[in-house]
Amino acid sequence: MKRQGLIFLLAVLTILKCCAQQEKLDSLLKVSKTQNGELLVGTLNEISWYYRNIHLDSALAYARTALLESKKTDQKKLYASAYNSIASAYQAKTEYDSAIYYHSKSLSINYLRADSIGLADTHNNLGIIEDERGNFETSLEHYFKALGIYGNNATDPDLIPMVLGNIGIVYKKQGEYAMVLDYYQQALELYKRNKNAFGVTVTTGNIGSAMLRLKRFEDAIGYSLDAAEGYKKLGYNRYVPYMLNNVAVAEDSLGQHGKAEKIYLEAIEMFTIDNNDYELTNTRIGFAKNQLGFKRYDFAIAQLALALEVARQKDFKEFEVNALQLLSEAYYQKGNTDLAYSTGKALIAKKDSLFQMAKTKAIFELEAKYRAEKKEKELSEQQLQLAQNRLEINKKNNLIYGLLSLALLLGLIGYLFYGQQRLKNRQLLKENELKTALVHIETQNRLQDQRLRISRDLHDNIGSQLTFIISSIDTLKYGLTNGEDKIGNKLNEIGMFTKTTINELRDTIWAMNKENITFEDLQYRLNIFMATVNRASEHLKLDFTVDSDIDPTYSFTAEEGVNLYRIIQEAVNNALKYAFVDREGLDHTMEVCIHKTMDFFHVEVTDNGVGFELSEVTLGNGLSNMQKRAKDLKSELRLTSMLGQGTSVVFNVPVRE
Amino acid sequence: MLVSILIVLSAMALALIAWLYFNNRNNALKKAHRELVGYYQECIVLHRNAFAAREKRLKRYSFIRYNLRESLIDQIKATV
Repeated sequence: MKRQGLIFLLAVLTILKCCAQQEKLDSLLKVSKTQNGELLVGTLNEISWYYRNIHLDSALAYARTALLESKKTDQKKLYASAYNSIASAYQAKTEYDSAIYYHSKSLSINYLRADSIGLADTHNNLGIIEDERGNFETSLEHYFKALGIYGNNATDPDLIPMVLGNIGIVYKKQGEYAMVLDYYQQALELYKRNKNAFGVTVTTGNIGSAMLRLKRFEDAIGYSLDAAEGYKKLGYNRYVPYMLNNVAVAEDSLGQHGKAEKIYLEAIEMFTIDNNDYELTNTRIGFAKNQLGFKRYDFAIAQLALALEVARQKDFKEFEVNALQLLSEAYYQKGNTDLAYSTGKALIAKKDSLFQMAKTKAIFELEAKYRAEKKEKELSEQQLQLAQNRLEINKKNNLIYGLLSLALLLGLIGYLFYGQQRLKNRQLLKENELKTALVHIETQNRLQDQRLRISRDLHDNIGSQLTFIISSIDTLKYGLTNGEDKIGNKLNEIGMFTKTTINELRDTIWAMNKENITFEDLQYRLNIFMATVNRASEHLKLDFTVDSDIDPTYSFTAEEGVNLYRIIQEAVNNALKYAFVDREGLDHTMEVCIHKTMDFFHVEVTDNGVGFELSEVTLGNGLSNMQKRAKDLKSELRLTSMLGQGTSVVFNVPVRE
Repeated sequence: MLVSILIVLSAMALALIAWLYFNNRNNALKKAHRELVGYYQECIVLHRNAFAAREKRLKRYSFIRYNLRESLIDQIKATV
């Protein structure tokens, strides 16, 4: 009844613990839906840790989700923690190569971030993995690295004794119990200093176990009892029978079979309550051995039979072999040789099958390990290939961006340069226009200045000199006596010639001073000339007519104006010189008329003089000059004369558009 | 990604620098051109004014001188 009540209580506690764990997990899952960033990563890591005890694939899935979320935050420390979670999940699945791969990634990040504690934690985890794989030397390397870092940086004082204990476990697996004891002692000292009751209890129990191996039975009893007491105080009663078992073995080894018997029974009871078939079977075998010491063969055989039954049911092969061996010995000691023999045979068969199974298991394990390593290698290669492809793509993208940017930049520079050149061209064009205009106006100015200077010089110097000559001649004429008529006439001629020269000079100066001569100017000059002629010739009636509808502002160039004037002047002078009227009572008339058609200025100089035969007369310089001047005016001079009919000089000057 | 952004930003920076450089040059060219054009126009105006003034004085001078000379010659003849 008491036993059933205890079993029920234990079951309830286990269920409660599971329920508490499940509750914690549910609350974490709920909270994770409202979180993001660093908090979410932490929660996902914790969920993965919990799932390690429930469902390994889920643990791995949550760890990978934590990694994805950490990459969104871009915080390296979160990457490291996520990689640790993935590694732990793989470790729980005994996929050690994957676990090592992800721990290495976490290690790299922690190294770059100079996160000493992170580095030490990862080294510790790697030590555990290598220990489980049987790579004790590598395991120890990692543990010692972790120890070194914790020694300098650890804020949690229990980390160092934890690693010391892990080192002790490695040496225990290698059978180096002296080293085990040394490290366990160091861990115990530190746990005691840190007042970590659980650490002290566990380490005390481990030391007790090591003492047993070293056959220091009394010390083993002391430590194991202390550990049992410790577990009771901490409330971890399920670990008490482990310690009692060690005490019983030590007492038995010391020959204290009675004491051992009592302790064995106590341990058996506790293991039964705990439903710990494994430890119960082991303890029964130990108890049976103890009973053999008392020569209680039947009781021992009964215990061994119970142990054998459970071992066969639960497939505890090692215990089956131990039970068979002891059973055979018991039968032998009892004197039941047949049963001893058959049991011995069964033992041998079992040992062989165990050995075969162990060998097959080892082979399968090796094969599984090889396959796992192969898969990991393929995975690594694929990841490497992916990374290379990604790098290649990034390089190409960067190249494309670079080339596009360069092309756009060159295009922009080209466009700006083209715009600048266009501006320069426009400016140059404008400057050239202005320069040309400036040069033109400067030239005009200089030309005008020159003309002015020349005409001034001509007028002032030469004109005044000619005037002086005229005055002098006039003065001389008055000095002559009455008999010197010839000289007087000559002087008159010279005077007239000089006056004519002055007039010619004035006309030249007039023409030189003008760049363009308007029709009005020309008409004015011609009027002055006609007036002079009229005054000079008493017997000549000179008529000068101009069309009234001729535009007075019409401009001839200076050259045209002068040529026109000179032709008319020469024609009139010739008429004055050579034309005379030979009929009585007829007045000598001369007519000069200018009228304009659409295309021409028609100029006509006619007189009613005696005329002449063109064929009989050689044309002099005057007429040649007239023809030349007419040609310069793009015109043709027509001289018409007949004896007794008078003379006519006609030419047409084209009108400029 | 970062490298691509850097490339694009660098190109934009260079484009801005190029635009600012050309803008500066164009402004300098325009300023120089304006001054030169102003100078030319001023010279042209000065020359034209000088030409017009000379032309005007010349006409008046020619008219006066010519008519004076004409009347003087006649007077001389008459008195002598």
